[in-house]
This record gives sequence, structure tokens and C-alpha cells, in this order.
Amino acid sequence: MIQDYIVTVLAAGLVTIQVALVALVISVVLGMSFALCKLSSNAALRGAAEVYTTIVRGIPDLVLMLLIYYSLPALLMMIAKSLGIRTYIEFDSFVAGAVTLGVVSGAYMTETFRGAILNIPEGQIEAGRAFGMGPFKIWRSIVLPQMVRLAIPGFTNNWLVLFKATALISLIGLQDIMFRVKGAAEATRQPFTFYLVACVFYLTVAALSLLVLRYVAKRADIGQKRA
Amino acid sequence: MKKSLFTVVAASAFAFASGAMAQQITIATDATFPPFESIDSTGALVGFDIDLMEAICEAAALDCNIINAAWDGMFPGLLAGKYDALISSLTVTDERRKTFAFSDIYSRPTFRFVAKEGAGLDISDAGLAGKTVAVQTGTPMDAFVSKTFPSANIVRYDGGSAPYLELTAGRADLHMSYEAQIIASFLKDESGAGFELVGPSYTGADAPEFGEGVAIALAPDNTELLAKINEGLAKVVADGTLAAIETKYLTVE
Repeated sequence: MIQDYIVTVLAAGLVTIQVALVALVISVVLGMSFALCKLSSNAALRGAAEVYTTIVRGIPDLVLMLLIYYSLPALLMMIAKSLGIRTYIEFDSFVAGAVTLGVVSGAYMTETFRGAILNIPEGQIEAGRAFGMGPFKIWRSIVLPQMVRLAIPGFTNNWLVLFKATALISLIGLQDIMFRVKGAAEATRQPFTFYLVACVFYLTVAALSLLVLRYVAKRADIGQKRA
Repeated sequence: MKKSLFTVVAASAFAFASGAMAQQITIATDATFPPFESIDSTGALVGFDIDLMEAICEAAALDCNIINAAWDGMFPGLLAGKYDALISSLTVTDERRKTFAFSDIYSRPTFRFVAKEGAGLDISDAGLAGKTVAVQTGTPMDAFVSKTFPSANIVRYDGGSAPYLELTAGRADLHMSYEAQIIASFLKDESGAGFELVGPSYTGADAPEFGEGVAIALAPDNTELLAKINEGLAKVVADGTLAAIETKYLTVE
């Protein structure tokens, strides 16, 4: 019977991985956008990015998640009502969870990407311009390939933090691995067995993603002189 | 490019968001309290409350979907309209009546202490001074013990199973819970060997903390559904289904 529970619990690990990957996509898009805002010459964009990273990095993930899950729909409905639209809005716990984690991790990604871009010698970009390259061409051929290499250590950290933070979503009822572990632990009253299963699951996924990222880092390092 | 991607994300979030408008009744439970509600090895919901809710829905011709929610999120979810009702061994208290509407009472549980056999405990405030009592946070048992035995060392846990672990580990001297839950999920099990029920049986008649009994919670303005659920419950009581479910889960042999 315990084995059946373990299979059910591990199957819920798929939900955990899905949330983490969706959140990762959101965080990379946000991180890249706000990193560019922070480096822009436009003061309004810089200010907006500063507000985003300051606020989001200063609020615990759980607080933000509860706000988005419970309060944002209520707020949206209030706004809709004041506009004369009667509607019912509610967020699925998957959406609320993935968006929250994406927004939180996006703030950290912003700083990682900003730092990486800043570390690319300005002269290379000026050289690109001198060759008549447009901004998009400079971005694709000069900035992006070097940025990836420089951003990978920070990116890896952000990803691991994001991945482990998915465990918080069980609190808003997403049937992820932690939620199922709790249910199985209470049903069988064998918490150690099941928390150990969760432990092994997180460790395995983290180790696998480290391997993948190490491979990516190696590829991005090709042609670099070793110090 | 970036903008269009953001629009897609926003639009899909909205599509998810407005998907739950169908006329199905969503009922939430916190499936961590065997034998009343728990998950089986396939992850499906099982237990006294689950069978009862299904019987009520059938009797009242409601299309019910019972889902497993986290305890903390259940109550805000009900008020936010995410769930239509909650069934989770909820005792009806004056405090809770201020915020929620309740169905008719379907069970009047008794509450007991469980402790090591032959511990010879004197169940009074003076007798429990220096003893460690484990309870689940935010439950009627927590409220009762906190008020009645202030000299005891009260430790509170999130889950229903942690107090039993503390008991078997010797870190707690007593635990208080629903008598049926103590028996079905602890004393019947081999880990409960050497433990016994101690002290008097308490009900709502003995202490207001234990409330009037157990019922289904709804949002206060949902009177239409409340009437239907009460109608279904009355049928289930009258035809003996409730008694059969009680026998199935709560019989002590």
C-alpha cells in the first residue's frame, strides 16, 4: 500500500515540474524585459524596473502568492464592476502559483541579466555600430551569446531557488508533490517515509538540471580563454 | 514581439480564470483527517464526509465535485466564491456562525484525551500542570484545552498526525481529538498500542468550544444551495444512509 502511495506522490511531481517550467518562462521574459529597462536611457523605464525589483524582492513569496490568488481576482472584479461589467474572475491555483513564482524569480533574473550585459565590454558594441550593425543585429550577434555565458551561474541559482519555491504552492491547494506528500503522510501517518520521497524527488530534479546547465555553460564557453 | 508574448500570457491567464462558470457545485475538503476525509493510495478522496457528501448530492440532485483543498485556503476560498461549500468535520461554533452559514448538524462528535496506558493522569488544571498536551492548531480542541487547562504546556501542530507522533515519541503526555478519529486512526493501529482514552467525554453540551455539532459550511448569502443541501441531508438521514456510513467508518469493535 505504501508503494502505491509513493507512485501517486511521485506522479504529482510532474505538476511541480510543469509549474516550475511555466514560471521559468515568465521569469526569463520579465527578467530580460526589465534588465533592458534598467539599462535604458529612458528614466521612466529605469524607474519602473527599479520599483519592480525593489518591491518583489522585498516581499516573501508566500505573501505575494496569497495576494495574487485571493485578492487580485477580487480587485479585478471590483474594477470591472465599477466599469459596469458584471463578471466573475477566479485564478486557478496553477496560474496563480506559476505567475507568482515567475514574477518573483523575474526580479532576480533582472539583476542577473543586467549584471551580465554590463560585463560585456562597451567597445564591442561600439565596434558593431561602427560596422553598420543595427541594434537587433548587435543584440543577436554580440550581446546575447556573451550574456548567456555570463548569466549562467546566476541563472542556475535563480532556477534552483524557483524550483524549490514551488513547494509553497501546495498551500493554495495545487496538487503538487508537497500537497500529495502531506495527504499521504496524514493518511498513513508515516510522514518520514513520504517527506523522504519528496526530498529525493527535489534532489534528483535539481541534480539533473545542474547537469544540463553545466553542459550549456560548456557550450557557451567555447572559444573563451581560460583565466 | 515581447509585447505580443505578454498579451498571450495575459489572455491565457484570463481564459483559465473565467473557465469556472459552469453550474457545477464545488465542495472543498482538507483530506488529512482520517477516517473523516483522507486520500487513498491512488490519490482519490475517501472517508465518512466524502461518502456523506456524495449521498447528499445524489439525494438533492446536485452535480457535485468534491476537491481536496488545503485547510488554510479553504475558508478564504469559500468566501471568495471559489468553493460553494466545505465539508471537513467542521464544528459549528458561535464564532464561525458570524462568518459562515451552516447546514443542519449531521454529527455530534465526542472529544477525548488519549494518553499512555496507566499514566494515572488527573484531568484538571492542577493535575495537568507541567504536562504537555498536543493539539491541532485552530481546532475546537485547541480552544477548549487552552481555556480549560491554562497550566498545562500546550503544543500546537498544523497537521492531524503530528500530535500522535509526539505522543509515541514521548514528547507529549496527552493529545485531544475527536474520539472516533483517535480510535480509527491511532488506537486501532499498531503504533497506538499501549495508549488509551483517558478522562471524560466532552461534547458541545460540556463546553461551548466544541460547538453544536458538525455541519457543512457555506457562504452566508448562498441560501438557495443551503436549502438544497439541507433537503438532501434530511433524505439521507431518513432513509438510513447516514447511519450506514457511520457504521462503515466509525464503528468501534
